[in-house]
Amino acid sequence: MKKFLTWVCLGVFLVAGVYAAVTMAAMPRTYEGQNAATSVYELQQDPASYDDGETDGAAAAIVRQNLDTARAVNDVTSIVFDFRGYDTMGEAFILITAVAGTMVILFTKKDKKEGDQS
Amino acid sequence: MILMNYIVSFFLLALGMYCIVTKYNLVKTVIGLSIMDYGVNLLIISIGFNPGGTAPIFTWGELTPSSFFVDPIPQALTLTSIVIGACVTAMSLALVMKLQESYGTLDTREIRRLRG
Amino acid sequence: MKDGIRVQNVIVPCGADVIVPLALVYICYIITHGHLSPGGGFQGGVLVAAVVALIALGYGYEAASGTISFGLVHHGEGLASVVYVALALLGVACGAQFCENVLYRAGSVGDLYSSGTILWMNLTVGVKVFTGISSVSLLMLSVLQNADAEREGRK
Repeated sequence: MKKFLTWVCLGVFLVAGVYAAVTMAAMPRTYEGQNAATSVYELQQDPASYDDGETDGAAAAIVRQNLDTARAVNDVTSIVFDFRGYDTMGEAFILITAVAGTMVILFTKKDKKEGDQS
Repeated sequence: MILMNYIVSFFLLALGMYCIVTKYNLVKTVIGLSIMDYGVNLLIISIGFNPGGTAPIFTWGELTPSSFFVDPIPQALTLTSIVIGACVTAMSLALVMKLQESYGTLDTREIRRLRG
Repeated sequence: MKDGIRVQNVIVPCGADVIVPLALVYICYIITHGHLSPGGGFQGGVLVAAVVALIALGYGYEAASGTISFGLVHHGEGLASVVYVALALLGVACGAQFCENVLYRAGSVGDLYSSGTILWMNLTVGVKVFTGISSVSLLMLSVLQNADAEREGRK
């Protein structure tokens, strides 16, 4: 009985997931690169004199301002460290928390003795 | 074929859920948790794809007047999500090691009561 | 590991002898050219931790813990995160936002020493991720080594 219920629930979850996938594939893209009126080639040749007047969405604004403001050729790195650097600080905090938690869990008296001797 | 990416990511989520719910070995439960993380990361990256676009890097001498970019923001947020998945796996494996030391076995049918 | 069977490690140390120097040079390239090509601090840091895991697989736990001392790695992680926050507060000290790139006039676009604070942040985050994941790996390996030694001693 439990196995049958497990399979039924997973099947319902998978069917709902496929329906969600089909619905998401029919929606418009988040950043229309082709029709966004941003010619990347011209942007690379002359970044300072490209007008950042009307942009639709954050991605279009970032792609236009990247070479001028952050001077980094890689868009993803400039997003991670410059435009959204606060999230990277939070993620460094997560790394410290994970290491501290693992040390607290795995701490034994033998480790303390080795630590005192070294 | 973005539809294939979406369907595979939901299939990975269902597979991870099946591993967590049905398996009796604790290491397999941790593996199921990791598989769910990878499925979510695949979904986030596939959302920002433009068919025919190139990577959002202004490399010198490789851009043509008819090239356009894919969305760079989901890629930047997926980097953080991958690190979070790795940290959760590390801490849960540390807990599994402590359980093995204290109970002697990793079968969830045997580990039922708290022991002092 | 069955009892009574001694395994002689030959293939993995030989492979590690060839792979580790090449991998370390390539990883330095990935971390420093983070703002010019795909890569950056996170990716390079994880790869260095993978090199440490390869050494531990090929030569055993004693060789891996002799290569990197645990105390140095543990203090290096805290130092790297403090340096990252100091670099981020540099923007506030110069009158801009929190993580703003205030040294962006150094060099021209496309050079190695361009894009101001992003280069230093890449190196800092690379050191931080490497020390964090290495310390977790070395800790888990030491616990497994103690359990193995106890089982050998009891037999």
